[in-house]
Amino acid sequence: MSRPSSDICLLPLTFYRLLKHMVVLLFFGKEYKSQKKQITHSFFLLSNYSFVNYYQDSGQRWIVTDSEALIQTEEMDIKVLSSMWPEDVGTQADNRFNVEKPAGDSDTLKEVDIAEKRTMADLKRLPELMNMTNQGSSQLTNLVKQWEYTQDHAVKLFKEEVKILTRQREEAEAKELKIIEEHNFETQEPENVPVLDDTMYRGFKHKKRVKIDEEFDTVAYWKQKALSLEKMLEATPVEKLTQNLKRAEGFLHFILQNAPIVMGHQDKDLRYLFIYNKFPTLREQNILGKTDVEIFQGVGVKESEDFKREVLEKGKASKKEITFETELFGSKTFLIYVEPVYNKAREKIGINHMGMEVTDQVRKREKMAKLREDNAVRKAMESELNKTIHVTMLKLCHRMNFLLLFVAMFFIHILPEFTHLKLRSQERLSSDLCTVHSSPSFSVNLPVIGAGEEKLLIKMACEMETDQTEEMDIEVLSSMWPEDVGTQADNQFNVEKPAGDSDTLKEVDIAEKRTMADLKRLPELMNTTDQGTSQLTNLVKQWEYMQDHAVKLLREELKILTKQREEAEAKELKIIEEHNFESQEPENVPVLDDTSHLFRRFKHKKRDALVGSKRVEIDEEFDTVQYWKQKALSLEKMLEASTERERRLIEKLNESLKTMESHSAPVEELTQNLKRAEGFLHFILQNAPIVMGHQDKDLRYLFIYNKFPTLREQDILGKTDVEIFHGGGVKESEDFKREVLEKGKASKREITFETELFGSKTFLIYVEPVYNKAREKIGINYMGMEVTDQVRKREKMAKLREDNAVRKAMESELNKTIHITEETMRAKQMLATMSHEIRSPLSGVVGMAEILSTTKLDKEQRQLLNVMISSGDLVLQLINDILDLSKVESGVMRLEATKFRPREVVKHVLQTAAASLKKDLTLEGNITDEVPIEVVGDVLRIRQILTNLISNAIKFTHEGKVGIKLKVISVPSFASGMELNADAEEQNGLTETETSVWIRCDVYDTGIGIPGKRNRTRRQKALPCLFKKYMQASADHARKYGGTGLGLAICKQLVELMGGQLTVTSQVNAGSTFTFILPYKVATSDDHSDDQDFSDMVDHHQPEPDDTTEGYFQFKPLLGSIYSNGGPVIGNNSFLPHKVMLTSPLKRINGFVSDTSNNTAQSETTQVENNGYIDETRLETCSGPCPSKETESCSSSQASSEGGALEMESELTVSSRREEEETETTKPKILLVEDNKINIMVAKSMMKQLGYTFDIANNGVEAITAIKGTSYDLVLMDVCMPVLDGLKATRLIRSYEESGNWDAAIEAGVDIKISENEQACVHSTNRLPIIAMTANTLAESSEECYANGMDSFISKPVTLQKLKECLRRYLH
Amino acid sequence: MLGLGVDRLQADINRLLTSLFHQGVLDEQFLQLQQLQDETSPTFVYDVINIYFDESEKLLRSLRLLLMDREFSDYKKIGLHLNQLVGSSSSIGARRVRNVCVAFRSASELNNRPGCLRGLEIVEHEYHYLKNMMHELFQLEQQRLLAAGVRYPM
Repeated sequence: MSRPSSDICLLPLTFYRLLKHMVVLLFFGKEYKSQKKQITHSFFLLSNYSFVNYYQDSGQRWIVTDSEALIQTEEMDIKVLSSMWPEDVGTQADNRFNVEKPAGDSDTLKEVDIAEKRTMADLKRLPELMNMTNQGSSQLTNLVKQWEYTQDHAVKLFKEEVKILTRQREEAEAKELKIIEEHNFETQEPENVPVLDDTMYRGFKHKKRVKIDEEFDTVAYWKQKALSLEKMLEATPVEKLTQNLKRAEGFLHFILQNAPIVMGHQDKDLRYLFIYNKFPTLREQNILGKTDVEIFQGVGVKESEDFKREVLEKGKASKKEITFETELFGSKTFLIYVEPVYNKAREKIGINHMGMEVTDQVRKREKMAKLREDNAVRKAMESELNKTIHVTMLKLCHRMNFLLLFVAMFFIHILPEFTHLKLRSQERLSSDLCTVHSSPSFSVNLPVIGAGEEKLLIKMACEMETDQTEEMDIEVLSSMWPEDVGTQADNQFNVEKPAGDSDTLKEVDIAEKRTMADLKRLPELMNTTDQGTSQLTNLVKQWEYMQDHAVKLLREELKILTKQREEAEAKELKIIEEHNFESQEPENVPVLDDTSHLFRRFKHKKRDALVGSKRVEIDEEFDTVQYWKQKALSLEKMLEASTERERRLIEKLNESLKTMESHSAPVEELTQNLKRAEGFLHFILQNAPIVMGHQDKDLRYLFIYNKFPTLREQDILGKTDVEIFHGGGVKESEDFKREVLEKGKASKREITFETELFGSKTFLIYVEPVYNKAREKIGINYMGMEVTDQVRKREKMAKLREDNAVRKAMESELNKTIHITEETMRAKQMLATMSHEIRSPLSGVVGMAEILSTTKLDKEQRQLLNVMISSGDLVLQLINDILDLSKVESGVMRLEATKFRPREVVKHVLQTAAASLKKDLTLEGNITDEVPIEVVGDVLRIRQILTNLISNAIKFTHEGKVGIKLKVISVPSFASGMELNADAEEQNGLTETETSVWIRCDVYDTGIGIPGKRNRTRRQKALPCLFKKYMQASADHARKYGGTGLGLAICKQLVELMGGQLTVTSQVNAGSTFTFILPYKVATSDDHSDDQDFSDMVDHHQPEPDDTTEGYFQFKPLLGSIYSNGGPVIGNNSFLPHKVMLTSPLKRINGFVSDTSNNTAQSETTQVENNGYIDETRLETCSGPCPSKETESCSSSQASSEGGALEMESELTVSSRREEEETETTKPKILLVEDNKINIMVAKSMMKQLGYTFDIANNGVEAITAIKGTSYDLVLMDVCMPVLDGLKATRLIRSYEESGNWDAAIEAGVDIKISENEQACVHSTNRLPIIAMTANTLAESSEECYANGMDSFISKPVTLQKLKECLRRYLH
Repeated sequence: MLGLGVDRLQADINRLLTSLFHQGVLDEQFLQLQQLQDETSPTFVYDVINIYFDESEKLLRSLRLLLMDREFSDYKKIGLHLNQLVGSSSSIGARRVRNVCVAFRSASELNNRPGCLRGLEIVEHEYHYLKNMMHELFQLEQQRLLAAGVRYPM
């Protein structure tokens, strides 16, 4: 069972099924329009049932893949196959169908018709309709089943048919194969077997008998005999025959004589019986009767003999290419064709062999193969090299990571120094510091790190050295090229190579030794650190150079390879051209000699002179005795003479016979000889796969040998190739012949013919021009040998060799790559380990330092500590970044699909950015209307990208604006065609059914821009390397703006991970625009069920419906106290509605103002933390008493916003202290009556924030006691309290105020110790404002509060705003 | 990401908070609480919430004891406890705890024992939920604090 036929058979089947399904579809569409759902359901059932998947291929053709059908047909195959054996299977299958065929086929349709009529049914008929529907669906199922059965049936039928066809074909094929085999080895066709037929020779041996019908010994008899003999003598057919034969043979020999062909016949002992075109120096007797081995010595002889013997044994004709290396003719390759020879008894009696010299062909082929190999290898190498380059880049990146780690360790190194220093310098050691210092893990860890660092240093140094040696390699390598390239590269490297490589290392070592430095050495240390930093920068630079270098190296190698390849290709082309014409043997020019000796040799025999007839003359009188006597006498005489003549004649005859015999002997011998040779020749040639021909100068055939069997001679002779054949190769061969004719040089070529007549065959064609005596070209001889199988074999071999070579090359390259990868992996592993190793002690350090920071420290200590913490945090962050990046790189990072609102994301990103904005910048967001309200994507990553780009933009923008622009675009070019990146689809959770949208997001700024070209710097262009890791536009930028250069790399990777593209356009001093295009799925609005998207919730929380569609946001820097009047607190939190100005610098300054401690990092931390929530009241309180200070600090902060926090700190500290003093003096006395600890804490904190302090009473009794003892300006009274609640307590206080005594209180059971003078004192006070704090429950209504003598009330929970309002009202 | 980690953590915090607000677990009072935190009391929110949890734990325990007692009839005490809980919950802005406490309290006022039991259950559930959320929040906050302390000394 062959695959193709079943495929062919499947095609109609497929169409059949397609048609069937279409019918079903149509049927559904028409009948059940009103019951769409039901139908859809049924259809799903149906489609599920038969596993039919329709899908549209790229050509918009509908294709049906039917997996089940395939399975079924295969099953069927088995069944049908077995039916070949027992006969009942066919009927069995039939039976099965009949049995299982569902009944009621036509009925179903009828009922469906009925159902259709009822589609207009009203509501009352709904149940009925439902019934009908159910019925319908069951009928549908039936139908479906039936269809399937029919289909099965049809499939079976088809299958069976296919079976039969296949079998027939197989049989035919088998037969064909047999025939082919037969033809190959000619065993079956006795008529075709080369049998040495001696009748061929015998025919010429027959002597013709002279038949004379006259009476013996009469004159007539003799006369007749003489005549006939004469005739016989005269008309020997030998010559004519010979001539004819000679003509053909002449051509044959003529063609063969110069053809590079050797032919021979060997007996079964492989002794030569005949050889044609033997090696010129060998005489015939040297060859005949001998074997190959006896004649030749050298390589290949044995092989050829073995091959011949093999053929003889196997009895199958075969071809083989054998290369001979003999002393006689050097190294020559022959394509040898050997066929066994049988005698009539069908016994093997020897072999015919024919060899064609193909040395040059083989050589050419070898060269080609080698070239191809080389090419393939080169290509493979190239690709591998590219890989290697990539890997190397990766490796270099990892090295960079190491470097960063090294930097990190350097920081770690600094940290303890700070601590150490501080500890030494300050006499008073805080206990926390002690912990830090004496923490065993800490002190143990440090040396370890130190050691590690040293190791790293050593390792780095080593690597540097190796890199340097690599550089040396380049120098050597580049010398192969025009010198200027190498030197140029060299110069570049030399010029830009940072100096002081080894020195750097030394100095770092020195720095390391100084860890125990005391305070006096602080400046020194700082110096060292600076030095270290610069050295680090140097190191980093050097690393970059190294990397560049390596990459350059690899690139160069690549270039070389490419060039070599190109050269090789060029060479190949040349070789091909050259080899097309390779004959250099002009002396061998075959000249068609029409007066050749062959023709001359056999000359017309000269006719022997015949004896003239004599007249009998009688001179006597007629009819006398004398007359008669005389007559008789004369007659007698005549008779005598006649007899004499006869005798003579007989003698002559004998003589002539003798001469004839003697004459015919050489002819016969010659003929025989010729015949023998020719016999051998023909015998050898007749079965050999050789075609020979002679064509005139118009390329018309004059002679052809071994033509294609179906062509008659007259079909060929006088015609050209093109006239005879059609198809591929014919034209080529004709052209080739013509070329040979024109160039006059014999040549060989392999041409593949693709003709209708004999299919695809490859011939090795040898063509030589033919000259006449005047040395004019009169035509060509051509000889073709069929080498199809050889060529095929050879192609296969070449391919194999090629593959092998490629594989080898790949292997070696792969080994290299593997080596590098392993190294990289090891580096990665080490990186991870080191990261971890560093992280744990570092977090210890940072953690301890943070604990330390919560204790009381003086300004200097705090400052140092902050530096320490921030440095530590930076290192931690760095490590995290590195890990983050490697996560993206290794593809571990997974994207998740969540629903989100792009507008809100943009808004929040801008808000966040605005909150931490330190510059006078306008942030704006612009979203076009067509951007969907909700889309699905990985909002977290998108935010990350946006935030990163925005913060980048802000970092490099000093004035103007930074913004985000969103708009919908059509499918971009990089994604078109594939509709959506499959990966991204998967990652984003998109499926094909859902609509997706491409959104282009521009993050633009008016900043310094990115230089497209840089002249002086090492990098030619900054833009291309912008997205590379650790790359910044330039070293200057790195110094000025900080950062690791990882951000954009991560952004790019993330965008690409999501199936998008990140690009950048920039103009120096005008700004840059980063654009990323991402596909999103458009969220369907109906399912909100599991929507837990947070940005979405913001909207629910904030009752602003237009926020979802708002397309423009702006956040402007706030200057002055525009916002000082204080809106609702909530208005300034992070959920700020759009278009509300989000303050940037001033708010932060307020934070500083109220900051009583002199810390920077910590305060900023809090601000960032609070970012949006920064309370407005602080601003108020501050701006109230000291507006001037605020502006002052504002300007200072703006001035120093970039320079770092340290400078501005001092000023701020001053201002805040001054303020603090002022507020101290005007402190009113407040009593808080509250039982709830939490409430107390909160209230206390609020008061503190507002600049007040208060006393606390836990219940009414305590409150009364307190009031009795101290005069308060305000009482905040909780209503609901144990022991004595707020209302009662208030009543008692009021009664005291009125009566001047605490009687009421005492009555109420409050134990109050009263001293009289105190009482008097208190009495003088005014009405004490008592403010209730109510939870607004039923029991604590405001009316009740007022009724009980309270002045006001604050509803719980107390907010700062309320408290402030309240205090303002009652304290001023 | 350098500096970006802060934003991410901040975004996480904001998101968590937003969700809590959205769910009604917290209300604006919590923001008040956050605003009260400053350099002088950098762990104010944390402290307050911790105390709140300590106190509430105690209250809930005693509430459970009271309600589990078959012979109990001291609805007033329950009411007092609940008052406490309501007060402190509203102070920190634990809106949902507060609301279920109020419901609980009204049940106790009606001397509705099954109602009280159910109320207690709900309160406990809400309380634990809040506690978990707060725990998460503080963890995030702590990470963010670490990240926010990053400075570039170049």
